[in-house]
Amino acid sequence: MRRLSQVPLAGLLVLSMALCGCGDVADSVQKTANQVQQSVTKTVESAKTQVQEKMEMAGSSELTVEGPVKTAACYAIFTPAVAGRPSVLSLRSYRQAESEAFPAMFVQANVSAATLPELVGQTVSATMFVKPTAEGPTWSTAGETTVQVKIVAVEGSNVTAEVTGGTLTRSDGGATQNAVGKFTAVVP
Amino acid sequence: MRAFNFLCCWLLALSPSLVLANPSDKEPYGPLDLHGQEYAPEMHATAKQLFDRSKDDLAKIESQFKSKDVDKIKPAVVGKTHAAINQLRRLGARLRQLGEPAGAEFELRAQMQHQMLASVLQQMKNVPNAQRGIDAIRSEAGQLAQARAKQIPKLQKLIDQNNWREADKELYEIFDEIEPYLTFLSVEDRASILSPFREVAATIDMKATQDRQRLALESLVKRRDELRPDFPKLLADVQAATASVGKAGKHNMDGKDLTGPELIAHFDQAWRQAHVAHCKALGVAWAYEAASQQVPSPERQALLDAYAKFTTEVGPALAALVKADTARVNASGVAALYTAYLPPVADLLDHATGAPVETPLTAALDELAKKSPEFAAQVAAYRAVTDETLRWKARVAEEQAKAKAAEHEPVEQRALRAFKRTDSAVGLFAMDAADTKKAWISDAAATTLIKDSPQAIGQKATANAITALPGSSQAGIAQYNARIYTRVPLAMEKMADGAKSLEIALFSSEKSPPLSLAATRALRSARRGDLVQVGGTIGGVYLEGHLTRFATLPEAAALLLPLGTSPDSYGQQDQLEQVVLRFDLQPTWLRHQYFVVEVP
Repeated sequence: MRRLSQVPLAGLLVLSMALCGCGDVADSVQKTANQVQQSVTKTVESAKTQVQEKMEMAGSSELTVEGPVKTAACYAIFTPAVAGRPSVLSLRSYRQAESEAFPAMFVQANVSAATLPELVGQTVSATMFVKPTAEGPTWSTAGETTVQVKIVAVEGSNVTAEVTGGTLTRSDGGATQNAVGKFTAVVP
Repeated sequence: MRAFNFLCCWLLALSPSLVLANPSDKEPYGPLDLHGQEYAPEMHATAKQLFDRSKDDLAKIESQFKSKDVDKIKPAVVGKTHAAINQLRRLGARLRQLGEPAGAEFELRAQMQHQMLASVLQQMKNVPNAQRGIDAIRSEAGQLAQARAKQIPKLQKLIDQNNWREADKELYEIFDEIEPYLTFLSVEDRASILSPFREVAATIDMKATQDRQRLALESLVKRRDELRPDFPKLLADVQAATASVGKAGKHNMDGKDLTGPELIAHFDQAWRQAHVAHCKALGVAWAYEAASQQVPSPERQALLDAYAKFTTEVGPALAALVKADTARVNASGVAALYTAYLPPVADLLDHATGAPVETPLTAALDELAKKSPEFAAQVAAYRAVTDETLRWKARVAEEQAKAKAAEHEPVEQRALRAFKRTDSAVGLFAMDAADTKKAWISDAAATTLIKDSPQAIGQKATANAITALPGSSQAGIAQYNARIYTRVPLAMEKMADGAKSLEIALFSSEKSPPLSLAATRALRSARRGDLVQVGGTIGGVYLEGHLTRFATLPEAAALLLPLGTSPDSYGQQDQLEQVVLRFDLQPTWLRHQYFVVEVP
C-alpha cells in the first residue's frame, strides 16, 4: 500500500496541469509524470483514501517508538453502548484492515459516554498497538495494562487526543518504553 | 566343556499384562504395541520374556568373553540362549503373519542377539579340547532325537486329522528341546539328527503356516470391515435432521429432541467417532496388506475415497441445516438462535480444519443474522469493536512466538537430524531424506534409540497445532505430521489467565456472550488449551508402529489429525517396519492464537 511519502510531487503537478489545460510541458516532466501514473494502483476505495490521505484530509498520528513514527492517516470510530457492552472509541491508522499500511496504529478504549462529543476532556484507559514497519516488531500494552488517552477536542468530524501515560512493550524481547502519542483523527 | 543336562526351565508361564508398551529413550527395550488382541497377546508376551532372559544371559556371556574367560562360559547357557533366540525369531515371524509391527521388530532383535552370540560361539568352538565336548553333545543330541522320534506317529495322526495347531505345538516342543544341543553342531549334523522328522516337519510347517495365514487374514478382514464407518448414513442423518429442523426447529436423535445448535454438536461428535473408526479401519487395512502381502489393497482406496467424498459433502450439508433453521425462525427468534449456534459451529470449525466447512457454515450464520436487521446491526457493531483487537493480538502473539522460537528447531527437523541414517548409525530416515515422511526400522528399536535419542533429548524444539486432550490429563497433542507427533503438558492455570484477558477484551460474560465466530473460537480454544505452537525442551522419544498407531487410535486422540484428513500411507512392502516417532515436549512457552504465556 502506498504511503504519503511515496506519492510523488510529480503526480500533483500532472493533476494541476490537467486541470488548467496547459499545453507546453517539458518532455522530461511529462515522461516522469507518465511513469508515475502507470505505477499507481487503481482500486476504487484505496484511490479515494489515497486522495484523502494525499490531501492530508484523513488525519494523522504522531507517536514515539524508538524514534518518531508518523502514520499516514488516523480515523476515529465511536461505537455506542448496547446491553452488555460499554461504548467504545477506537483510533486507527487505516479505514479497513485490508488497506492497512505501515506505520500502523490501533488504539481502543471502553468509554462511559453516549456520544463522542461527551468525551471531551475525559481521560480514558486504552489498549494500544503500534507497528512501525511490516517486518519489524509491534509495540503494545501488555496483558491487561492500558495507556491513558486524553480526548482533547471534538470539532465536527475531527478528534484530537493525546497519550498521557502508560507503557508499551515490544513483541520481540519484551523491552518497554513510555507511551507517547498525539492523534489528529477524522471520523470517516 | 561339560555336557549339559536340559531342564525345561525356560518353558515359561506368562502374564501378558507385564509387557511394557512401546520402546522409548528411557525404556529402549519396551516392545512395540500390538493392535490385534485375538491371537497376538500370548506370543507377544512370550517373545518379550524370551528376549529379556537372553539379554541377561548374553550380558553374562559377554563379560566372561571380555575378561578372556572363554573356557568358563557354560555351554548349557549358550545353548539355551541360542535356542531362545531361535524361538524369538519364530515368534517374530508369526506375529508378522498377523500384520503386527511388533513381529518385525522382534525379528530384528533376534538378529541382533544372534550376532552378539555368533562370535562367542566361534571362539568356544576353537577352545582346546572343544572337539571332545562337541562330540559328546552330538551324541546326546542324537539320543534325544531318537527318543523323541517315537512321537512321530502321534504327529502323523494329528496331520491326518488336519489338527495343524496341535501338530505345530507338539513338533516345536520337540524341536525347542533339541535345539540347545544343535547350537555347537554343523549344518550337516543338524540335518542328520533331525532327519527322522523331516517329512512330518515339512508337512506341518506348510499346512500350519497356511492355517495361521487363513485365520490371520479372516480376523483382519473382519476387524477392518467392522470398523469401517458408514459415511453415507451419517450424511443421510444430517439430511433427515435438516428436514425436521426446517419444519419444527428440532429433530429426534436417539430418543432425544435436539435443536439445530445441539444437532451441530451432535454431528461434530458423530464425525469425530467416524473419523477415529476410519483411522482404525485404515490401520487394520494396512495390517491386512502386510499380512497378505498385497500392497496396496483395493479396500484401502475404498476407505480413503469414502472419507474424501464425505468430507466434501458434509460442510454444505451442515450449512443446509442452519439454513433450514433460518427459514423457519422469526426475526424475533434470530438473536437467541444465532448465539446458540456460535459455540457448536466454533468447535466444529476448530475440529475440522482438514475439511471445507468454514465457508459454507460462516455464510449460513451470516444469513441467519441478517434475518433480523436489528440483530445484524448488533453483530456488525460487535465485530467493529472486536475484530481489530483480535487481529492485532494475533499479530503480537505471532511476533512474540517468533522471537522465542529463535533458538528452537521445529521438532520434525530435530527428529530428522537426530535419527538420520549415517555410515555408523542405523537410524530411521534415509541418509538423503529431506523430511520425515518415511521412517522405518532396520535394526532393533533399542539400538537406534540408545544411539540417537541423546541427540534429541534436552534439545529446544517447537511443535505446532496442539489440541488439548479431553479429561483431566492437562496435556495436549500436537497434530500428527509426517510420522511425528508430540505430547505436551499444558499449564492450564496460565491458559486460564490468558482466557480471562480475552474475555475482557471481547466483552464476554455469561449474560453477554460473544457475537462473532472469531471471538467465540478465540475464547473456547483458550479455555480448552488449544494452541498454535509450543516451544520447550524435548524430554522423551517413543517409537510406535505406524499402522499400530492408527489401528489403535483412542477416541481421546481423535484430533491427532483434523477431521477431514486421512493418515498418510504409501504402499510399500515394508509396512511392518514403518514407525511413528512421538516426542514429549516440556514447554517453556505456549502460543495461543491470541496470546503467548510463559511456563515457569
